[in-house]
Amino acid sequence: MTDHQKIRCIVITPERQAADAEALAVVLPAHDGLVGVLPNHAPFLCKLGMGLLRYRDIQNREHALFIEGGFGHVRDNEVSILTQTAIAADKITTAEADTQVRQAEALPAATIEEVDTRRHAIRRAKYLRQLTGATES
Amino acid sequence: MATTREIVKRRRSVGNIRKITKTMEMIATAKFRKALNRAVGSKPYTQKITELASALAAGLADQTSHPLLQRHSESNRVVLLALTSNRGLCGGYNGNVIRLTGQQIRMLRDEQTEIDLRVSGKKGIYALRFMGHSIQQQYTHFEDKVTFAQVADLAEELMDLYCRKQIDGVRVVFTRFVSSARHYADVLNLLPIQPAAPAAQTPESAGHPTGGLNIEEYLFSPPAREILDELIPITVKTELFQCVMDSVVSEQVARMSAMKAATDNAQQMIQALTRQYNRARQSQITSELLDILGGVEALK
Repeated sequence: MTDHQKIRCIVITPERQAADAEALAVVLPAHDGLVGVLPNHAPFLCKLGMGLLRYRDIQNREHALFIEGGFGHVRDNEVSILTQTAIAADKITTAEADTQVRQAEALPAATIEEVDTRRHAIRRAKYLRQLTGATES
Repeated sequence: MATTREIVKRRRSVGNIRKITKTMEMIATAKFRKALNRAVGSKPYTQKITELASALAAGLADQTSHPLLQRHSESNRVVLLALTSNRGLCGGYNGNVIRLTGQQIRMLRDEQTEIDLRVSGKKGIYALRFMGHSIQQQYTHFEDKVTFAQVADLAEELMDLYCRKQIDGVRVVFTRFVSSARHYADVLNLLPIQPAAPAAQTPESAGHPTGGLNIEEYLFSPPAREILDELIPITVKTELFQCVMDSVVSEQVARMSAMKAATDNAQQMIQALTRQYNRARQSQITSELLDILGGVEALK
């Protein structure tokens, strides 16, 4: 396996470095869809959306992180993800996601901004719930 | 000569102060650990995002027109933001920032620039007001558990002012944290953003040529300019957040060492007082003994 080209995948949030691993392939949730990155990818800079960042490490294990917004930067076989949130997908529980859905639905929606925030929060929470459903079934 | 009773009383009060300073030292140590983890955790993010933004800005220098990158001098007004603490007893921490702020104020006055002085932390507010400076805005909510959102609000307000050309720049006077043995007051030009200068490379990034990305070889999604437009406000926010975090950590470090020194001093004082007390007691005994002997002699 060692002669294979590898990519270094770094995930950084304002609070901590969420991941730093050698990977064989990385899939980024860009703002307009998924982007797959293999070794020797051209330099690439994109805005990220909400979704799952997946990468396969050198032991061929899949890892998934839920990320929300930010930027992805690919250069010299290094993928740097700068994002606000990064949670390992298997750490999210259904109960937690359900609470978040309820909390999001309870948000006020009086002004236009509040409606937007609320809609976004609901979408996020539902996505999280969907994720837990997907990983558990 | 002080009586033994007086010395005992003083020794006891010094002992009580020692207890307090010792406790404060321990609290500061605990808070420092927490703050340090946060500050160190956020550093790579700040570094990366600043690097990326300035590299991209430099790469797009000829075709970008983001208002935050442009220098202007219409308003002749600069925001000076001083970050101090709400609590004292932390050695020279606040004093250094206040002194540097004073220097900056004098410098700006010499340049005939109007100053919009904003101060965070009670200590700075009181001291600068006492020095006769008028403070336009004051904040006391940047405590040790400051959140990104709180800082982001302030950054947004400043960016808005800058974009509307009501101010020409933002300077932050804060305490830069290098290591637990080294922290110093420093000034950061938050706005306008300086596009990457090749000299500004950090040692880690020295391997990469970050002095401006080679725009031609990059793929962008969405177009580079849109990315930059989003990246810049985030950069400003994270940079300001890092300043606040650095200040918070430095405050705890400063308090830790100040309280350690205070505790050591109290300990020394107790020792000196104990020695004095023993001496006083001994001389009291001696004089009493002499009295008795004198009495015995007289009776003979």
